[in-house]
Amino acid sequence: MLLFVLRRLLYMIPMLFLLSLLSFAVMQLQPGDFLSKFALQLSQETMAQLRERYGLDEAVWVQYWKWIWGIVSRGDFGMSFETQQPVLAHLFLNGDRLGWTLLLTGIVFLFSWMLALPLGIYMATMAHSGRLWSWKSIVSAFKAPAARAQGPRPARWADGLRAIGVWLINALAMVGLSLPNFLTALLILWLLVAVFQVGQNFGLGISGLFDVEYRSAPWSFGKFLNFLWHLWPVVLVVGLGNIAQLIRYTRANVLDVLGEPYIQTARAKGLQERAVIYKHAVRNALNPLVSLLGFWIPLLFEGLLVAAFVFQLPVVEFAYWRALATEDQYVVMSGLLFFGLVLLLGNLLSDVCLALVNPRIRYE
Amino acid sequence: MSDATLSLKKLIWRRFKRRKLGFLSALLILKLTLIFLCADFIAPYDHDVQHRRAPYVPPMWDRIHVWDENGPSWPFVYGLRRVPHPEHIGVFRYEEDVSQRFPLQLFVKGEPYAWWGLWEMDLHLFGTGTAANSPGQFFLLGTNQSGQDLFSQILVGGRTSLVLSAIVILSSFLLGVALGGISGYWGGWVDTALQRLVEVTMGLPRLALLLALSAAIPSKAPPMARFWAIAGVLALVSWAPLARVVRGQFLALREEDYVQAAKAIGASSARIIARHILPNTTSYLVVAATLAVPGVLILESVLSFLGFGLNVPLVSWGLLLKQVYESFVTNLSFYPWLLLPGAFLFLTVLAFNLVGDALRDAVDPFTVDAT
Repeated sequence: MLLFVLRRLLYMIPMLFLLSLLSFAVMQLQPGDFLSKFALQLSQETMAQLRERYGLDEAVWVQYWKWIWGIVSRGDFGMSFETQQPVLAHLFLNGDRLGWTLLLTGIVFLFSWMLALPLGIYMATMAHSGRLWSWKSIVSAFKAPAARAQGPRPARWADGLRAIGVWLINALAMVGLSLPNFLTALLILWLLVAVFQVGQNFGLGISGLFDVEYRSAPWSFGKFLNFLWHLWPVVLVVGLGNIAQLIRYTRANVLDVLGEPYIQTARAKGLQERAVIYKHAVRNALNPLVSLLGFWIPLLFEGLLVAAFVFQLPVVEFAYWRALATEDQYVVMSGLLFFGLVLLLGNLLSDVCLALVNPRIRYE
Repeated sequence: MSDATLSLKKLIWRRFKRRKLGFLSALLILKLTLIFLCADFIAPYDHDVQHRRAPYVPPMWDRIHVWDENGPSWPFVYGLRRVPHPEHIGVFRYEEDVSQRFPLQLFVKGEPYAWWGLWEMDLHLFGTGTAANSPGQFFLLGTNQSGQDLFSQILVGGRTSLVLSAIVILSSFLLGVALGGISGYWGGWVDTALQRLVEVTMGLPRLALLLALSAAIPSKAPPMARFWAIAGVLALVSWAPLARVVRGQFLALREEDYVQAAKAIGASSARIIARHILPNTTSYLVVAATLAVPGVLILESVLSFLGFGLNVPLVSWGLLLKQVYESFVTNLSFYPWLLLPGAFLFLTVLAFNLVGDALRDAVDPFTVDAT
């Protein structure tokens, strides 16, 4: 296992090399010189110094070499021309951006899995029960007793409620799948501005993770509540699409497993339905879901980027967007490298988790 | 008729029709496409013309009158009169000026446009047929801050988005089918090399790369050049999953008896691919294409929303929503109809998702029908 992880880590080096080439090439496509856009902010000496340091007057491959060598030898990813900080500090530290990114991503991830897994399992068991949960079953469940006492089993109130639940979850999954996250963000903004009447003063009270009076205050219960108030829009914007997809995946996987012969065996030997579902079906259905762990990372990134843009969050994604808008080249290149690295690590993590969940998988 | 006597196409069609929601969505997509293709004609105004005297007019669908003091009448609207908001400074409302009456007309002469950039026309499906500065205007879905008609903008924006998605899907399909086909048909080191390429492409941070690439397009580029560049960039990040699907299909079909038979009688590779393998993958390709449309639509609008997509004078739904966000406090408090492009985006994406789902179930021979 350790060997496998090591080998995968080694494989990452050519990938990262390719990615660095790509991001450098993308930045070279931009017209004009990196620095000329910041000519007003920087003094003549610093300009000359930067030109010298990053070889901006030299051939393209020399520039690339200087950038890469700086990363490998000194951990110097370049400089942000906007704030004149080293790139790493600019991307990760300003207002503790990396910490917030990890925290928010973690919260959304946990929330969406905790909500979507049970819903997906429920949907699978409902679909597996072989009954049709259409509007007809809702109608027949709430009809007068005499009228509905036909067919194999009379429909009951509980069946009607179940059918409504299935319908609702289906609708949630479909809407979540089809609602782009920036549209969710706009709808939440509308809710906050027009219905709750928050943020009338240039959006204060909406943007950021805290209200202004809490921003530099030490942690307290009030600050925590304020954080929660700013958190739910973010969770919804990033999480809704994830939840919808996860419900569909879980449902499909659990439904597949429920058709296996060993489920029939488990039922035949008299296990309780609860044990059949959770001990036999769900545990086996988890494998393909775990292998998709790496797949969620780009989704979370995309969602958080949009949420950060709309709600002005102090996260890495926002710094990346800002760097793109101000054409802050080194930040963009290093940002691309960082997001690529996260993606690769995520894929590695999902492989490792897969081996932990499923003892049949060995990486030799 | 029993199932055994039906061709595969008929079977798929029958099963598809059974999925009511998917079928209705397919009809909706068809209608929307027709409407968007004739956007210039159906739109009552030129989407870019600013009606300086009518900023932020609310939707006028409830201001169509079919009844006057003499009983039923041909549909008409009253003139618009701008009055200040009683509480908020700088916010205006529009009242109906009952003294002026403007009948709605069909096939009316209005603002000139070039249909598909080719034919100069000034005929519009409906409108009041009055000059741009007259109070008698019919803004079906209202106007924005510069007095541009939102309905016309939505139609033209929908056309932009759909044409762009079609170009992206088509080109990424050509790329995906070509590379996936080569990879799956020949196998061996070609397959290994191409699969590494696919893995590398899929391992890239999609949106981050997309943003960086679109940011690299010069901002001074002419709008249509930008449109093509964005289409190219989108195709570049979306071909890889398709190539993977195609490769899987080719790998499976390569071993089929009829392919082996064709090989045995000496058919060329090109012939086998074109005549024997590709036709058998069409159903899967159609499903994959349908399911890829929502992703492209959303990516394009996200790009425009974040400010790295299409630029004015082109419009797209994402761009319209970006304009809402730019001063969201006033826009959302007083002019919520500006969110309507979002409703169109949502409905279109939803329809494509439903059609894709229904098609997938109809095509897959192993699903058991619920009926």
